[in-house]
Amino acid sequence: MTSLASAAAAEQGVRRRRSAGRAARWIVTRVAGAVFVLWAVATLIFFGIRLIPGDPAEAILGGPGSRATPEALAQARAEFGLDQPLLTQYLHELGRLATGDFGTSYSLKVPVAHVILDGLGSTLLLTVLSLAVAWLLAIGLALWATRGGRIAATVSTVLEIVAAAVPNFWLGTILILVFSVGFGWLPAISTPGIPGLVLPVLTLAIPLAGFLGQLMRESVLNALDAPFTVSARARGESETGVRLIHALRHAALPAISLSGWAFGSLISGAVVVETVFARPGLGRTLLNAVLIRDIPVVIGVVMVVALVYIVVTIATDLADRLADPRLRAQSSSGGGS
Amino acid sequence: MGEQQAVLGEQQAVLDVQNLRVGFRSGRETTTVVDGVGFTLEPGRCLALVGESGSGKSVTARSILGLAGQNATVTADRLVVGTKNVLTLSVRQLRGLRGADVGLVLQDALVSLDPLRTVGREIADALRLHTRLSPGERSARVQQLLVDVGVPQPEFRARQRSGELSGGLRQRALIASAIALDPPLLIADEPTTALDTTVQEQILLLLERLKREGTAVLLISHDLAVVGRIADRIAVMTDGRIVEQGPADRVLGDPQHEYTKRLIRAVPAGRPRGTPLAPAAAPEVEPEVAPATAADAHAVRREGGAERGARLAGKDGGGGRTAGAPALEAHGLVKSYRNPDGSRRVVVDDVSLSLARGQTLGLVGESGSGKTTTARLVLGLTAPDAGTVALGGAPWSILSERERRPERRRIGAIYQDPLGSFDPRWTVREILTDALTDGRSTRDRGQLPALTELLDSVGLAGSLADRRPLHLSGGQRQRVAIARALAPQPDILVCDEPVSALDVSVQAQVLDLLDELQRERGLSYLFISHDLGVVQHMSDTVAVMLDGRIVESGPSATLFANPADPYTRRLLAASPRLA
Repeated sequence: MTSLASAAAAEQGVRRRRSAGRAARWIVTRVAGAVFVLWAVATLIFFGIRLIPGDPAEAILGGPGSRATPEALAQARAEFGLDQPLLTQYLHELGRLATGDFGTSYSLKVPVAHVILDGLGSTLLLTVLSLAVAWLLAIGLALWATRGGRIAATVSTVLEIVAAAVPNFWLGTILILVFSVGFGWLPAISTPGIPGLVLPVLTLAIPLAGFLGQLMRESVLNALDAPFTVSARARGESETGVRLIHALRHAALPAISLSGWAFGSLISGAVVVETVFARPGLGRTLLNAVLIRDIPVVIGVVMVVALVYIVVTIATDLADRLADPRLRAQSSSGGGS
Repeated sequence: MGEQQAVLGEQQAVLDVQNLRVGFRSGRETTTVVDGVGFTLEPGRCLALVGESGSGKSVTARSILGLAGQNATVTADRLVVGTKNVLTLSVRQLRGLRGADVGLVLQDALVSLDPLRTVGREIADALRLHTRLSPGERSARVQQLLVDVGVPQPEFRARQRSGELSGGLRQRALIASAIALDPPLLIADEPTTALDTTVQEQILLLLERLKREGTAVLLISHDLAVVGRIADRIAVMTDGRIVEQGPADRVLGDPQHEYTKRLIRAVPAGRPRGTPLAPAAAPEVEPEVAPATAADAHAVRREGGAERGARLAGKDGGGGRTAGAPALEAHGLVKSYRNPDGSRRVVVDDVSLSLARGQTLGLVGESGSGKTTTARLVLGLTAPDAGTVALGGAPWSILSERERRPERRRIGAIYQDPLGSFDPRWTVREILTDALTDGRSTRDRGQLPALTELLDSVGLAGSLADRRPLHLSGGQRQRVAIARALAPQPDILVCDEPVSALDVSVQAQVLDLLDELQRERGLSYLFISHDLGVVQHMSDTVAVMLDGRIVESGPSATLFANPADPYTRRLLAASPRLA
């Protein structure tokens, strides 16, 4: 018995040390990957935005319609370093970004960091709420579809497909027509406070819920067919218990993995929704900046969005590991018997 | 069925099933899966329900728990557990019955325990559902249960999940979850099927102990040999009916029904090399390919093989291959892999093998012993860290892949799961044409005569050529896999667990086919299996593998009669066999 005990203790110790090593390697890989992605995004945007016709100097002087004199344009170029060779500008830009300096907006003449901070909170609130609502809707749909018999299964399938297929801008318009113009329950333009959030959040959440719902229904059905649910039922577990304790957790795994990607799509959806509902936020800021070629704002917003996306991806990975212990201990497969 | 005297005195039956019928509705049709099954089971006894896949044995077991499924219609004259009539119980009462009155143990605890939850919580669930114990009391009881079923370090193991435990430990944990409330009836549905021989032995001993302590055990299995170890009575099921039922000794020793006799004859353990296991006209074999009588075939086998072997040796004398050299020779093979944490794991450690022409070398060992890696080294699919493989005396493992590819036709392989090794979109015709043309074409233009011949040689009807693998039975799939391996006319076949996924009677047919092909074509087999019975029946020489090393090897007869290594002895003792 003592040799068994010490063997098991040794096994525990080895595992703990191994997992510490793995965690360290994982963090280093992640940080290096994030730095690479940020550099790649900055580079792509820096050169990409120059492919759009038009002169950034015009943005500095009040946009394409400002009819600035050639002297004024030349002065603006010199002031913002736009007359330098492209490579010099690029290295200069990288150097500034590396120190966390996003520069000054051409059109607004305020630091880009301020512009971003103004919009970031509102956009994050919108996307995070949308993700949460989409999850709730998807779980409800999946549970109902697998519980309520054949009619529920058919109805929810149709609902999911329709929801997943509607484009944001159309859904937003329809929701405004029905709930603001028709019933007058909710404001058509996003106002501060909860009522103003309902329609934008639903506009973003419904298509995602349709998509996640399809995914979850499939995996709930798989889990309900799995031998461990037979074991659970044979133990006397109720149908509700089988779903809540076993099936739902398995069903959540693929949905968690995809939530990182979903969050990215929500941010790009926010560009549309913020415009439709005239809601202040990063999406609208980005759209305006692209239209008037306000390069520092475009680069700044894209960098922040990329950073958020990286953080969310890492968070999903961690959530995956939390929800699925098999990812944590893949290599170890128990002692003897 | 007139064996009522075997019933113990005035013992009240724990389980009484009379005329059980189960049908499944799909659309308007109802398929009857269980058709009038009846048996009784008393405390401290074990009844084994034996049958092949599709016989209705698992459905019978689940009907007892009211778990036959949503589309099932269950009727019976009696279906009584203890004093409860299962058919009249409400949903809530059924939940009370499950776990408390009947425990269920399924096959393969890796997936029969929720892989996302710790085994401790899975076991505690039964206590949570049926008792008012506090979480602390539950956890104490869980650890006691784990100790009872022989799991050392219960506090540590209770916090692990099924995937982190070895096959034996997690099966014990599964049993612990089924007996948590000390149910008088335990139903074990193929409880040892996914396990290694020695682990299977331990689980059977555990079930036997539970039986001794008074639990009635209903054991469901496809394997007569396993069942013989602990069952008091055996009921043989096929097509939803019990065709024979009686005391275990009698059913195994003196079977009355034709089907029972066939099942028993299909068990390869202890059957001499070359004796057919299946009746000559097996259902899947076309009548015209049925061989001469078994005795004739047996007489021809040795000489045929030797003759062909000599011919091969003569024919292949040139081209660098040495006449008289073994078909396959491996020297000092070593292969190790890197663990995720950087340490090295030696999977194959100094393995040497020699396979004589026209003979079979059996490679036996438990899971993780390095058998399959050895097969991959021999096939030239993985490069060894050290050591060499030679085919017919010519170098093999040291060749570059470019040099080896034209020679690959000399060595073929068949695997445990043929379905996974076929492109599911290809028909049998395309699969075999691909193999016959060395992968140059899948289109059978001129109705290759070789293709018909090939199908014929493995006993498949030509009409199957346009089916896809998914629409074939397990036995037919394995025959197609054998045909594919034979297409380039190899000298050697590596058979990696070729019959492990098959029912006993289908296994018998496939083993007979391999035997016959060897005799006709002078093939040399490297036959890999975890099943000692199968290896003994098929092999001329045997090598036993443990932890990447060969612990013992020698002529099959000597090794099985006189095992020298303690591990071989342990393996042999644990291997279930009839009588």
